[in-house]
Amino acid sequence: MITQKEDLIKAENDLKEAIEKIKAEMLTQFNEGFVKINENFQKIFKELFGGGRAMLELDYTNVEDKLEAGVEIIAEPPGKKLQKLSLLSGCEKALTTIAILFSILKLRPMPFCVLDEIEAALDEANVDRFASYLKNFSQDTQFIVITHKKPTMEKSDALFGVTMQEKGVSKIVSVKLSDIEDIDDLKKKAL
Amino acid sequence: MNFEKVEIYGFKSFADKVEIKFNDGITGIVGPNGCGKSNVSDAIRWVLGEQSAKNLRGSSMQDVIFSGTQNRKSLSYCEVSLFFDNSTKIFDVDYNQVIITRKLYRSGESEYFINKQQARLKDIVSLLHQCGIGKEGYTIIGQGKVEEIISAKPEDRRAIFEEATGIAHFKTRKIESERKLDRTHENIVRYSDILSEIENQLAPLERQAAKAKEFNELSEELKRHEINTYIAKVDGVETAKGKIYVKIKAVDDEYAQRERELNKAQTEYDKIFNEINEADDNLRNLNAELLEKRVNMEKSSGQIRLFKERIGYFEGQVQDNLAEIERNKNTVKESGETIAKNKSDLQNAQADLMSLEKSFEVATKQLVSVSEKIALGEELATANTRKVIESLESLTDIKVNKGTMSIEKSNLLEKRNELTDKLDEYSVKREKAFNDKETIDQNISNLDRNIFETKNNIELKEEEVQQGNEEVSKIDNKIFLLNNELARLEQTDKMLKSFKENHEGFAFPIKTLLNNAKSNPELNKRIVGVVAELIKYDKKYELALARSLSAAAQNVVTNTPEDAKYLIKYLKANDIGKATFLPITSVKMRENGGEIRRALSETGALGIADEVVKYNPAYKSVITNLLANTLIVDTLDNATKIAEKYRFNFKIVTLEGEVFSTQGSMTGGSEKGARVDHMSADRRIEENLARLNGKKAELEELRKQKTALESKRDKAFDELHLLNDLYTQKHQSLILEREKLKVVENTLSDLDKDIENLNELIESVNVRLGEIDEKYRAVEGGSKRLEADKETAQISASKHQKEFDALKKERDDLSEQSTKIQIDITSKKASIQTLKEDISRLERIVNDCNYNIKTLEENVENQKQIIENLKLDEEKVAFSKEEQEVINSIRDKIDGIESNKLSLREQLNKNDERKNFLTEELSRLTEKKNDQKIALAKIDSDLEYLQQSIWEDYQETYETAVKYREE
Repeated sequence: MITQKEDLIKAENDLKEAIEKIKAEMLTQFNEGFVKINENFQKIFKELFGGGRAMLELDYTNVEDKLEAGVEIIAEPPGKKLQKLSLLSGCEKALTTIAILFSILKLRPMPFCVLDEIEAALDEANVDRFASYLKNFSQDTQFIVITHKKPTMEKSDALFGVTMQEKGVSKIVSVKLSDIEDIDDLKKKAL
Repeated sequence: MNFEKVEIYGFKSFADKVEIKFNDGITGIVGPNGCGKSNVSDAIRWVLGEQSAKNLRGSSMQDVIFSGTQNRKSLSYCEVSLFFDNSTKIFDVDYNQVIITRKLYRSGESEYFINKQQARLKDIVSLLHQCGIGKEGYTIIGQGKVEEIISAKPEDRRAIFEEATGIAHFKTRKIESERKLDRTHENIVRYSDILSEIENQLAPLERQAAKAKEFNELSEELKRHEINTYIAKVDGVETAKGKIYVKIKAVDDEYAQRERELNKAQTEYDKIFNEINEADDNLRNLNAELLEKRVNMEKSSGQIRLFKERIGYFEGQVQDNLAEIERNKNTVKESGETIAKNKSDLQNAQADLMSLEKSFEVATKQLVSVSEKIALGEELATANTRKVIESLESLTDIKVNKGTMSIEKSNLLEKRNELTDKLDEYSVKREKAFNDKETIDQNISNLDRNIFETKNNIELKEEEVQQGNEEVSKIDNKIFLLNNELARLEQTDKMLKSFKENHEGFAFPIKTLLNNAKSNPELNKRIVGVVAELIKYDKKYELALARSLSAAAQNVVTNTPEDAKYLIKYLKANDIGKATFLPITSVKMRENGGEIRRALSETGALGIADEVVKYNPAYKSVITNLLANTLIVDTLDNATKIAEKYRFNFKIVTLEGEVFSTQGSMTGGSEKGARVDHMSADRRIEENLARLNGKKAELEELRKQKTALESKRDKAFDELHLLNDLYTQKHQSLILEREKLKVVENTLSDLDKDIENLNELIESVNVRLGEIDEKYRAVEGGSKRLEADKETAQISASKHQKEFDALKKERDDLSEQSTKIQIDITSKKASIQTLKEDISRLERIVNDCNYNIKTLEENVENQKQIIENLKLDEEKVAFSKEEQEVINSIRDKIDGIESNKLSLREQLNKNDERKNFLTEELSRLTEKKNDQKIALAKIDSDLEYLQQSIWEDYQETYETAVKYREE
């Protein structure tokens, strides 16, 4: 029993060592990735907003472990002062977030990606930019976009409509963009 | 194409199997709100291994199964499959297509499949992870993800980036390791606890063992004693049982004897009982016979009494009938007389009646002829009167009609005038409205044009504002870049200054000495400076001078050799290191040699080193000493030529830093990170400052430009506002004008309608007037004809009236006469009727009396016969003496049997008592026997109980226990 106890003490030390190793590896990998995301973000932000500047910052204040540093988003939409994310308008917030998401996607391109109405808060012009940008990305990544916005639909290569002709039961119909004059038409069709 | 399609069955609102094929690029999914679009993304997320029902917008995982609607049943399971094209082998499997399927049953059982082969969730997750797909990552970005990133605290937001950089799985590993660490620590503590606990428990266990042993011994002894008691009891049982059996035998014997006695008594009893029954039967028969005889006797005497009464009654009847016959004979005689008298009266009355009827007939004929004449006259008079009245009525009607028609006519004429006036008025109004409309149309077309122009202007202005905005943002961008540049330059400035301040770049002893001198006035006083810091020069000579001076650049200049001595001592005392000092007073000034002066005219020669540098003349000796014999040349080739020509008479350096020494050696080549910082600190500070100021000026200029552009843009913006206001204003007046137009148009159409109505009305009035005129003429003719008719009718009526009055008088007289005769006839007829009735009544009475007499005589005959018969019957019924004697003998027999029965009854009672006694004795004996049997059973049950308890306590039977017997 005493030997078992000693074994345990040894295991405890081993574990401590392993944790330190993991931490070090995490820090390196995170910092590398973060720098790249930051670069992408600054570029994509400008493209999406049609100007302005933005960056990501690691906030080391009030943090003991470097692995717990917070991430602050600083954005300056065109024609406005540099400000924190919480002070932006709803549309700007959404677009900034989308820029971050795209930055991440750029760092780690995925085979496919489902976007569920993430551009809902954007106005027509911004949706247009968003959709064009999405189009650029679609060469590396297959996108499945759930949307209400016309520009996004226009940029889609294929469209499917979900309808509820029978109450509580959804059906899928294939839609050709040339058939649709505007969203109202689509809605009529779906109903 | 990687992701080919998704197949969904029974997932959430997808009750039927649906299939969505994905193309390369973007596939859009659209539809109205609430139709289940997001369920598509939920389905994909679910297959990727989502375990949280909340993330799928349900309260439990089973909620994802289609739960039925009013028209559809719910399903028992749901299934979603993702089809991937694996021809590029993005997945590490050998198939060209990979199908990942998840299936969930209502029982909560969940199954996963890869290419239809059952698999574990872990397999799927790791398969997907290889190519960067995962439910936590950025494969599915839902409506909530945007919100999450925005509203998260900076620390939480970090998690998103950790995921993105791929260290999230490290984190789980780290946490797992930490948990393991905690567990290990706990185990160590528990082991220590268990060890100390075991040591504490040893002493109490020993005490318990001793007690257990003692208990075993004592219970062995108890067993021995109890078994012996048991054996003794078993042995005693047999003798006790024998005694009881003897007692039972005695009781049985006595019981048998008593039973025999009882049987005997019973037979005797039965015999006596039979005899009594026999006697009863006899008695009953005799009594019945006696009763019958007496009933017959009573019946006969009743009949005799009845016959006597009837005879008396019939004799009374005969007397009455005889008196009645006498009375009837008298009545017949009286009636005959009255009839004869009445018949003569009747003949007289009939003759009178005949004469009266003849005179009535005459009177009636006269009356009829007069009445007919009167009726004719009356008819004529009535017809005339009617004619007169009719004519009068018609005339009145015609007069009234004429009046109404003329009134209507005048009304209509008046109305026609009114209508014509109105028509004129409306026509004028219409003219005016039409003119108004023209003006408004003109206004509207003017406004339309105006608005179009304003719109164009607005567009132009908007473009201008847009352009202004773009320019401002361009300038903004430039300013941002400049600011960055400025900050960088300021930083550099600061750095360079501190570099100089701290004498960075000098060798350690020199640096220390100079730095110490800053705080030590004694040292400071003695140091003039370092050579590098005392000279100023053009930048292009920097490398040449640095190489030429080399180590001498760091030499310290002092005023006197004493100072140098003091400083050397200081270095030594503080163990700082070594330095070279150049006292101004002791270092020799050096003149430029003639050779070097000549060489200045050679191609490539730029100058003598001491002449290209500027310095304080006080240090001339030091500087010339170091540099007067050095020529600076532009290139290596030129330097080589000069060196050869002047045979290395002086030192040559090139601008690239190659050095030709007087000894003939040549130093040069590439240099890594040529460190000449200590030489150029001041110059670099100046350069930096110049650049900084330049940038600042540029920034200022940009700011000015920006302000100008902004004001220009703002001006355009204000103008745009004005134009917009103008547009709105014009638009409003356009709407106003249109409104007016509508009103005027309505008025116009109203007026048109009114005019048409008026015309129609006038036409109808004219028609009505024509009709009235025609009617009036017709009525006039009718009136004249009627007047004449009335005249003739009145004349004929007055002529007929006189004849009519005479006839009426004659008719009244005749009618009076006729009535009188009629009354007489009626009274005669009545008296004749009375007489006839009297005669017939009397004749009927006579007949009745005669019939009565005949009947009564027959009755008397019959009654006499009946009385005779009754007397004969009475004699027949009278009672005989022999029958009385029979009754008496029966009574004697009954008395004998009664006394015999009494003695038998006494015997029976005695026998019954004996029987009862015997029965009691028998039951007493049975009881006694039962007592003994109970005693026997008790002994047996006691024994059995004992046996059982011995078996339970020690598992011994009697046979096995015998070996424990002790005497």
